[in-house]
Amino acid sequence: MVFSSISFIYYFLPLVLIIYFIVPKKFKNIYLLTFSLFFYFYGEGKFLWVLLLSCIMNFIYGLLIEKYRDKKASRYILFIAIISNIGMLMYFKYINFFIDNINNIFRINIPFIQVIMPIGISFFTFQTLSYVIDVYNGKVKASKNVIDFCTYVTLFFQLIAGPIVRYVDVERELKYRKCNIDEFAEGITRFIVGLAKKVLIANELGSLISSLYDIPEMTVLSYFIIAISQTLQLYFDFSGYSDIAIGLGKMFGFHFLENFNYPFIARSITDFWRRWHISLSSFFRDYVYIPLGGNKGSVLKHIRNIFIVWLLTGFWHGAGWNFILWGLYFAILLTIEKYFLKSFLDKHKIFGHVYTIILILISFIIFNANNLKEGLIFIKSLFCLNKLPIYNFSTIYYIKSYLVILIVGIICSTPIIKFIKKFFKNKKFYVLGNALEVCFTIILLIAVTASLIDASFNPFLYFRF
Amino acid sequence: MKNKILTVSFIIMIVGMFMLNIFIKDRDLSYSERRHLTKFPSITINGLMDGSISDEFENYSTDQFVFRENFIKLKAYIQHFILKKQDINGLFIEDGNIVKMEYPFK
Repeated sequence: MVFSSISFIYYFLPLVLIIYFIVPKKFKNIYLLTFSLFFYFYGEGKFLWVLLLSCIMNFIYGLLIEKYRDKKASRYILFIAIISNIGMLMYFKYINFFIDNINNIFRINIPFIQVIMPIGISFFTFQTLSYVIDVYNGKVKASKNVIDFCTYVTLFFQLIAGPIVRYVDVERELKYRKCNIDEFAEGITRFIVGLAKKVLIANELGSLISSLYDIPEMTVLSYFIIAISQTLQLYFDFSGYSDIAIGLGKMFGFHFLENFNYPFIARSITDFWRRWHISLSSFFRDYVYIPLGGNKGSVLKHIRNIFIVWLLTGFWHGAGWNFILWGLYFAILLTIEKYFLKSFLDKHKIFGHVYTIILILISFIIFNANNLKEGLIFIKSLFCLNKLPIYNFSTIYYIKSYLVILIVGIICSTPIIKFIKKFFKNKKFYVLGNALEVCFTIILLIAVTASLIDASFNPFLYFRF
Repeated sequence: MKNKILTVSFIIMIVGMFMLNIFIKDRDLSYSERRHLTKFPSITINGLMDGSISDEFENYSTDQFVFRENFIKLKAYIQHFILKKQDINGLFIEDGNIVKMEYPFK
């Protein structure tokens, strides 16, 4: 089930909420767990066992590591845990990618395996991995309660599209959490804003992109608009999902860390990655980059570490060469920034913004390309190297049709709205500001509902993650 | 105060719609769209396992939503007057007539 659907907002959510606040405290977790499993089952019936296996397996690993703490055995268990978690991910997500490449290299014909990737496996595998490693490192005590642990892994808000929540961050709230009306209301606002980002902006941009691709004759301008739209679409879709997860979390008394922080106002690629999908980049920082030695040691070692982390980050996004290339692209840029460009970018802020935006647009062309050739054609066309017309009637027609959405999208990807809200926090306008906020939130919900009822375009972009 | 108003309106909205959707009788036909509306899916083990019930339920939930017609009108209104879209689901207005767009040519 996706969040941006009538069935979620008007069937699943009211049911969950009503019963949740009636159920006695003791049973709240088991209740959340049951509903989360149903949530997963509803969309991915066949793969519920994968999720359950992952939960039970890692719960046991945690207990065993705790039992053999400071003994050699705990190392072996950690090793088995990492292998089995990664192994599961490899099998479901990457096996056919590997078979395809082995076939191509050795010119043999291993048949493909019929396997469908269970939704969200990349997210929950990383959550359980972070748990076992944290237990091993003594950052957190192993969970003694299987219900609590499974609730943590399967919580429906973050199960299918992140953010990657660490056990350390919610350990206390699994046992003891308070709900008050202020946080509940904050959660509602966040939830509705997330829905609006996904339904009113990302989906519209998605349909603009497919309309532009449908035009028989492509133009430079259409490539340019596609490049901007797909970057914005990814941001609004993904950050919208994170907002929904964070908002729902708040409504139920959980506090998740932020996942996005206005990435497009970054002044360098390094800065961008501190603002984009924070839970993923910090996962790779804490569990790969730092254990490898980080930036300590020789320059060569540091560069090696950057490349390992970014190849993995790229590969995590999907089983395809374009994702690996995408990771490599960032590894190169980040290395250049660390060793050459840093002081220059710090001094020339405007240049920094322009440079970052252009490189980000190009990166998402690689990210979205179905294969390398397609990506190359795209980039060549964008720089007028393919002898395409600059624009034509159809391109202008669609740009006119979606101009308001594009402008709204660009404005909402900057902190402008945050500043406006801050302005209204001023005592003079306090009441007016609050009244406007409530009205606006409810209007957004109504607009989202209208949009979903007549939905022709509502893709789930993360089926590859 | 603000938080109370927001919470209450949100709860009324989602729980109210939920109740209305359950208690108001489903319709067979949509005259404005000239088609049959999806019925509540019959529940079978197979349908549950292969996910076809989920798909049917998605269609059911949007087809049988209360005030469906009004919401669709609202969306068309937003798209036409606020977003200034040139066409709505491939239909556009030309000299006071609604015309269907035949594009891209296939």
